Amino acid sequence: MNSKTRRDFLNLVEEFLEGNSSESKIARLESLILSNEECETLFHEVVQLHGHLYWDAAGYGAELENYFPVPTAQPVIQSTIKPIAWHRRVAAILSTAALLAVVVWITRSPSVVDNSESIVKEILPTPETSENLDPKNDLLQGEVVEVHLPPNKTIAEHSTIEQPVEPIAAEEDVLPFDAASDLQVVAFINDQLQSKWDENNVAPSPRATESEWVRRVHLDLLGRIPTLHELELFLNDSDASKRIKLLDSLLESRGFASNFASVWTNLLVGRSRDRDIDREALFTYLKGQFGNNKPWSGTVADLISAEGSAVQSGPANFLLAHLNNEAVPATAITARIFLCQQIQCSQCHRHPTIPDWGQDKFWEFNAFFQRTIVKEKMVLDKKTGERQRVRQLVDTEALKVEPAYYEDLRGVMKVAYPRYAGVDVQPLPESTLRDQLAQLLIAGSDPQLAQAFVNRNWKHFFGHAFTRQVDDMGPHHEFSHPSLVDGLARAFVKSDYNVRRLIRWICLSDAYQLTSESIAENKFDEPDLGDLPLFTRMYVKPLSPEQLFNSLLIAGGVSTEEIRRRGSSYAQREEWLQQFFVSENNEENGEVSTFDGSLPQTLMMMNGELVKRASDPTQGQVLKKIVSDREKSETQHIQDLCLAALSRHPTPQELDAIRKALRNQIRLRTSHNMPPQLAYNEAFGDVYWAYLNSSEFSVNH
Amino acid sequence: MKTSTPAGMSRRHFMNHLALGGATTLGATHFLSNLEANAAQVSNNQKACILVWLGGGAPTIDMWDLKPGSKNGGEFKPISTKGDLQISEHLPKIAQEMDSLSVVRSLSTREADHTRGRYYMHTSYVPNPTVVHPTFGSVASYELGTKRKNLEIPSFVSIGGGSMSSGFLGMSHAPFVVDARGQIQNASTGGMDKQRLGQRLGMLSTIEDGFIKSGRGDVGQAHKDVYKKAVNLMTSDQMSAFRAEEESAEVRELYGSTPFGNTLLMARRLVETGVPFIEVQFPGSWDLHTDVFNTLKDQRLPLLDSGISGLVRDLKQRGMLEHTTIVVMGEFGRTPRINQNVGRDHWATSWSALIGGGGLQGGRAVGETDADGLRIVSESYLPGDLWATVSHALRIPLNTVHTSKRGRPMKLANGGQPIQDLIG
Repeated sequence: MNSKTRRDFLNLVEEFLEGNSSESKIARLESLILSNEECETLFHEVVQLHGHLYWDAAGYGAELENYFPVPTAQPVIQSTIKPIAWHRRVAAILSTAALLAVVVWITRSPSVVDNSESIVKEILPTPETSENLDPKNDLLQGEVVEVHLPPNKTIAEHSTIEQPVEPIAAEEDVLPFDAASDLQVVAFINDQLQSKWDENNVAPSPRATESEWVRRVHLDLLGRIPTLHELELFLNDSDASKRIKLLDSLLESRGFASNFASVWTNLLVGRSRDRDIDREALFTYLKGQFGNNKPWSGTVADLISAEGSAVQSGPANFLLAHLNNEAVPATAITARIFLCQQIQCSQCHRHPTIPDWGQDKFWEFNAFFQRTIVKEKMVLDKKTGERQRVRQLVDTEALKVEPAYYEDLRGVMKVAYPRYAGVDVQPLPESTLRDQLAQLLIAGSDPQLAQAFVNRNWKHFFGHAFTRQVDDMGPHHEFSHPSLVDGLARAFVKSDYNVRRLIRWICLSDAYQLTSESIAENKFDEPDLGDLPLFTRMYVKPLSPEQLFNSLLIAGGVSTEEIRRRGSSYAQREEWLQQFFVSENNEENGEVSTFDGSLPQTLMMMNGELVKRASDPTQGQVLKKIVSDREKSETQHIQDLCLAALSRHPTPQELDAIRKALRNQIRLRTSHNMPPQLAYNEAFGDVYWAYLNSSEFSVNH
Repeated sequence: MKTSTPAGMSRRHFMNHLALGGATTLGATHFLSNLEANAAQVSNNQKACILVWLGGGAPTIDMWDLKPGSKNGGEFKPISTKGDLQISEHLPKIAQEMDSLSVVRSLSTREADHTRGRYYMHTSYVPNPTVVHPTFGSVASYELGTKRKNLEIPSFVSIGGGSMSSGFLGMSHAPFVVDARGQIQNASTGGMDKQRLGQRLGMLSTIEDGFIKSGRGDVGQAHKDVYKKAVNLMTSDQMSAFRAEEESAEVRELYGSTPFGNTLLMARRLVETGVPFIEVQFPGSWDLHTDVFNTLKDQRLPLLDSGISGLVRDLKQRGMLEHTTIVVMGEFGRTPRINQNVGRDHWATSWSALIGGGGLQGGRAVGETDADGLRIVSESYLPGDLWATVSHALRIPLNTVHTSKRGRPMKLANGGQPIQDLIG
């Protein structure tokens, strides 16, 4: 199936699932599914994916415990089976169940009772499953589009699935490469991507130019564009392995530690300053971890089990920020950030197709945080002599387990005890519940923790993750490259969660060297349109607010040292950021951003202080230095400005057009009696303004 | 932090300058080609919608659909109104305006997670990982804003916070977010020579064209469109619509003289200017898992009561209510059952929204829930039906179809149908 057919087919399926399909479209869909095996498989996958749409069947469940009958014969699904593997194995079971979800979902008014027997029979003809169905269930009713699916095949597949699952113990050492060798890991990445390219009949774009690549790697690793000096050093280096050299030196630099600490501080506690925590202490802690290349597993363990005050214990700020509201945000955010799983939905609802992904899962996870409290006390500040309020993260000492209390879908009060991945946990004198949770999260050769970190970093460098949403790797989601995530995660664990090595692998891969320009052979690889990414080229990534701010400082001539030290420009940045972020009005500690390329950001670029300063020939140090270099010609001045802003040389047409505009402007100014030098400098300031305001400046590509 | 509202730079002045000096600069006119000299006086009978967003999910069972006598009924009593329905005793001023407003009591919307619910209620579509649907404000901007040639400011304004994405309709229809005081940062050129701005834009245009042609997706084109809007805005006298403080004390008093009241007043000024869709974020969370009754009666409801009643009266006095649809809702309702913390949790099965103006029927209760508020015992409605009703009021044809970036046709309001009791 080529990409166009696939897309058309998916559109048909989606319309059907949303109940917007016409009869003729359903007939086409049906004939496609029946005639093409690939379509049939795809249909099952999509329907299974859509099963999650009913996940949030808010409220219906409250009245009708059995509103969604799940076949009981499912010993296959156990928590010990890793998600990706059984993702495929149980696809058929899930799709039958999900189909039911669709039936329920298409129906609009649950109060209308109608006879649904025929539909149920048509869709779920297997005796084992229909046994568990109550045909009188008043949620399954008329109004449903008649669907004729190939019933017998489903049964056939279904029965093969009931075979015992192959032993998974053998998976321990299945890595097809030696994780100790960076070369082999990189070759593995290359092979995996290549085989998907072949499969989809696409070709990768050519290798990026040195200037495209050097800007990219600086933005990704240091969170800012390169300075003119750094650019020159790299572009003039004739060493064939200069990309590796630069990569390694950037990974060792303090700028890298500082940038990654900033990225992770934002992920962990958000950007808004409304929360009563010490963001700076958390940042400093993370900078130390990334700077000393501490294993990621240790960092996560610290963040989850930290105790102490906001000021003295950097990692404690993570939970200090989220322990409100019965630790519901802490539970949801811990799972979302570290495991890329959205378990908050299961807080109130059960997953339609995954029995062990229910309300109890959420509250059992939540129970790990139930013994932790935030204590406030007044402490005398020795320096100022003033009494200050200090917030501390403290665990209660009693060894009795305090469960999480919650109301189940029928309003019955229930309790949940701390339990993760099938292991029940008791508090011990020497280790708190949170200590033990941390140990459970990092145990094993392929924990979700490693997969999640791989997925996040892949997105950091390529602009798209292996899943459509980076932080939703739940069982209902498709992976673009399942075996690549798996292999990389295992290699990452084998390296003892070595963050720099993981990044090194990613940045040395062939795909990371490609240009962002598309070619005819990969034009339809457009993950922005909702397709799974193939990584045939570097996707264009909008700059984060921090990247944009820091890059504007570089463009204005502020030293890299000053940016890294977070001196006065840092305070300025923190304040500047607040205009783009507001906390959400709910108890889940979310944030809304207007930093999305819309008007507020545009107005900031056009009229804001940062660009104003950089493009003012009396204030912008870079501009000043370039235009006052008398050795160089006007053309060279334009070239240098383009380099300083976009890390590249201007194209001939661009150069030509700008030179003409410049002449006009200088003439116009001097005709108004402006001194020639001033006219020259101002006109160049306008050229720089235009470069900084270009879309090319606002993206990493 | 520097904040400023534009002053001193009139648009006619700016256009004149461009016509003289700017004409020689590259592409400047291209950049500004859709600008027309001097805005005509805007008439106040253009259709508009004001959405008041109750973020966090309001306990509508304590506001619009009370259940006296039920164990779920809570502490509040219903009172009679000028309409044919009763509402909460803590909304007495709104009760006096209920002849103009109706309550849809049978929303059943499935999504009870904040993020998913917000998405669903704004777009009429459930979240789908493969496509981002536009929020209805963006749809109104796309359908109505683009036709209002005299409108120089953004055609979708969100006051006091976020709203949602414009999705596949693109950045030009994204909500323009302003804070509750209507201050817009960086909207002034700081007294820069108009001719110089034109020259800068000309050069920018040259640089942009290269990137747009380089096969790197549509980011370049989107960027260009937004810059056009920014220039429009920076040079427009219509920006004064954001200054609610220019209204008399008497008018502000009508809205309760609160920050929330001022945001509604700003919304009315924007409607007068021709903005077709304004979303106002209620200041304060309705996510009342604990202590719901005290919070409602002491804080949320009095504020809402004075604000909404003031808006309705003001619009009525000015003859604008016939053209302006008001919708008041959040991402879902709250559980009929009162929890152990005297709060109510998330509930999407059976809840209410307030809707009125725009020529819709007032004074009605549409749909019905059972005695305990747990189920709908009449026809139930989806967000698509609400937005189809609003579309009807805004005269956006119901058979309108938009096309996603992937080429998929998307029906207006997800194919919802106007609620007959409201349009009949």
